[in-house]
Amino acid sequence: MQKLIEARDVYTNFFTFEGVVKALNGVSIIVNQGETYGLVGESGCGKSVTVRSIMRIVQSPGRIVGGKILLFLSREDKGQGIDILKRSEAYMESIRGNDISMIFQEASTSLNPVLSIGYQVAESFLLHRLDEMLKETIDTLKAEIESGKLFITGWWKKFQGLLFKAELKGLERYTDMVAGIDRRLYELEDSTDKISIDERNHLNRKRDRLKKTVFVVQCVRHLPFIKHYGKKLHKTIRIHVIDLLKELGVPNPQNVPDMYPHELSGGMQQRIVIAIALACHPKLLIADEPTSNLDVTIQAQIIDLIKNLKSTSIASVLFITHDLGLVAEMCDRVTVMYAGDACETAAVKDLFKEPLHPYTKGLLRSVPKLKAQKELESIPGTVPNLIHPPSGCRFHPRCPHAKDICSEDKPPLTEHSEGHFIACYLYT
Amino acid sequence: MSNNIIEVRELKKYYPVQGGVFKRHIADVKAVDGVNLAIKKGECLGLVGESGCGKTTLGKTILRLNQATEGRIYFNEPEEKVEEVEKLLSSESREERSRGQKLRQKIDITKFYGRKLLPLRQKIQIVFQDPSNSLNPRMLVKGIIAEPLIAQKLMNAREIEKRVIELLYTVGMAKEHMMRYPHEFSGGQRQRIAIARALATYPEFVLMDEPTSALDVSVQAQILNLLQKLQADFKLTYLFVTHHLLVVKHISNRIAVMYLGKIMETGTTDDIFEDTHHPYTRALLSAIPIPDPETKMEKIILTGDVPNPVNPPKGCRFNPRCKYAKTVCREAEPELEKAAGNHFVACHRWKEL
Repeated sequence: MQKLIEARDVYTNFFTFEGVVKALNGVSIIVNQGETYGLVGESGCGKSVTVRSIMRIVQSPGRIVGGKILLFLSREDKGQGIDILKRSEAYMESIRGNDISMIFQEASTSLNPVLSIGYQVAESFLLHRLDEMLKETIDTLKAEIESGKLFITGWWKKFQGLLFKAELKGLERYTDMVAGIDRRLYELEDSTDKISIDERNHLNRKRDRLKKTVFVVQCVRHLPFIKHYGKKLHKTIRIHVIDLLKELGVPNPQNVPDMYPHELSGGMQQRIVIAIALACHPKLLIADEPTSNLDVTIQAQIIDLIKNLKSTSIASVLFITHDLGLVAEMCDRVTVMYAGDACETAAVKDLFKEPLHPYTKGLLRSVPKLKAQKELESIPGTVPNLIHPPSGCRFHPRCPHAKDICSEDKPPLTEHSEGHFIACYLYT
Repeated sequence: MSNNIIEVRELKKYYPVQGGVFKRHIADVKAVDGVNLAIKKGECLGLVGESGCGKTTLGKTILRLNQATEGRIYFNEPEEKVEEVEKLLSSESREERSRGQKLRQKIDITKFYGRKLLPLRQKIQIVFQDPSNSLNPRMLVKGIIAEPLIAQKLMNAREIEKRVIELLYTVGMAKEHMMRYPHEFSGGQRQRIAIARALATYPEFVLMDEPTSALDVSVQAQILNLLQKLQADFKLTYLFVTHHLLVVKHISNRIAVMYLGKIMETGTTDDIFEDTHHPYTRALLSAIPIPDPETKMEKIILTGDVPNPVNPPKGCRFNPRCKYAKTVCREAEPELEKAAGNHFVACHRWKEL
């Protein structure tokens, strides 16, 4: 199996007013190519923080303080993996939505209520697949001109094709550059040393020049013929959007792009969010509790959809959930998390047949099952406060098998049998 | 005294939709549309259905938190009396009907107002879904639990304090938690406080409105065990509203499946899970994710969403999503039919399927 992404001993802390919340305490996971990887745990155990760290979108005041996140894309890494924590924000922007994309928990809050569905889906086409779309637009235009639908004479034809290419592509690049400079200027705002003042002046001059260019290009955009091309581009993208929606089983896909999120039901909203995530055929889809506030029948629809997509268009899925039933149904391998620790990693079958970690055992016993049982077993106590987490193994205050060593040292993740990793002193 | 603690007959709850300049009444959201339900003393009836199917509205209407649009609810009335009233109300002659109406005023709780509701409120209580919203953040736990006792004027201050401490112990908390505020507790503990409040006035019937859906699995197990223990100790009757089928399976004796304001199937838990008749129940059951990778159940995936309750589909409400639907399903609305013993189904074609 080839690795796709690996998080190695990631530590993420939240520096809040009350104290430092140690949300991730050295979490390691490996997602291989072509597998569905599950991440289970109770709320507040750090599942979402783990994937947010992988995407590098941990919200302030959170910060990744240690560890490595290696991304194995066949393009440039030569098998070593790229540590994305060391890369620039611009690099991350090219990765997010393109190679790794994410579905968030609540579809209704992750869609923008004031933008149409079509615009929101088209956004990722515009960001990551602009070249393809432009090429396609120019091809259709060429075909139209040749077939005589669009009447343009000789030199205009050549001139416009060039101008159009330069203009539409150029504008995006220029605005990006301006945004980059703005960000840098914001960072330099407070510093007073000579080097940064020089840099600031230089950037300011550069920014003014760029602004002028952007203005000129924007004016050019309003010339009648150019405008026409711009519209054509959006039409091409719209066709792709409709195709994508059709693929995801949205009823009457022709009309949906003009609707707004509030006009759709919860299940449909979730499908739109999946469409946005899938626009660029990502290598890894991260699904952060995609069905947690949907009904069971709608949940079954969405799960079925993700399963189908898994077999057709996406390579791997990192599936976060608190529902052990969904894990059993969807995933190939799974990691159980507790209070920022990865307790146990195993193939799903092994985990359900032979759970080893005391927490996993407790969790599995506390789920109501289809077979009749008298009383549910529960884990005594509650999840600890992560500002002052328990020393050593974070589960030891609730663990029935706790030994002296458990409160002193954090147990290392060791391989118990093939592919079954566990962090517990009972098995070392 | 009768066998049934609550009897619901032809209950309807419509919410008006207003529109136009003069806020005219243009349509109704038919949240509950003709429900017949009987809850036996000492049982736990699970009410299952998708969101928006009217299960919470039904529960709240039974509690008189909503005013019913139509229908009758009898609480703790002898069976003969209920039957008599029902017979009179449905009789042909006008005289008998008016006599029935008069009798009904005395025992139908939808007709109770003001002071007459006070003893009723003591006997029926509710535990809400999200304990972080249902507990007043400015009140001490003591005040929260004592509030129903104060409102009912059941005891003096010293007795109330004693009762609060007793209640805290029964829900597995301690005396020292009394002088704290709700935000100091975890979700599970807050739900325990909400349960203690519901139990304060020695109720006979408690409505559980998704009490565990905001909780984690390990805490959910604690709360479910507590609820079962309390039911046995205080001989309570529960109406357990939830969308989580495995929880219902665990805790209920009997289950009612609701869809778009109507009851689709009722029966004992074993009936519903092993001898399912209604296609909607089947789809619902097959959609449960089972925490065991070895058992693979065949999935029935329903297409589409729950229709709008403003104008529900003609005929059987489930027909646009049902793969067995025939012409008869699109025209006539099925009644609840007896399948066996206590098992009722509202489907035209359950015998063939």
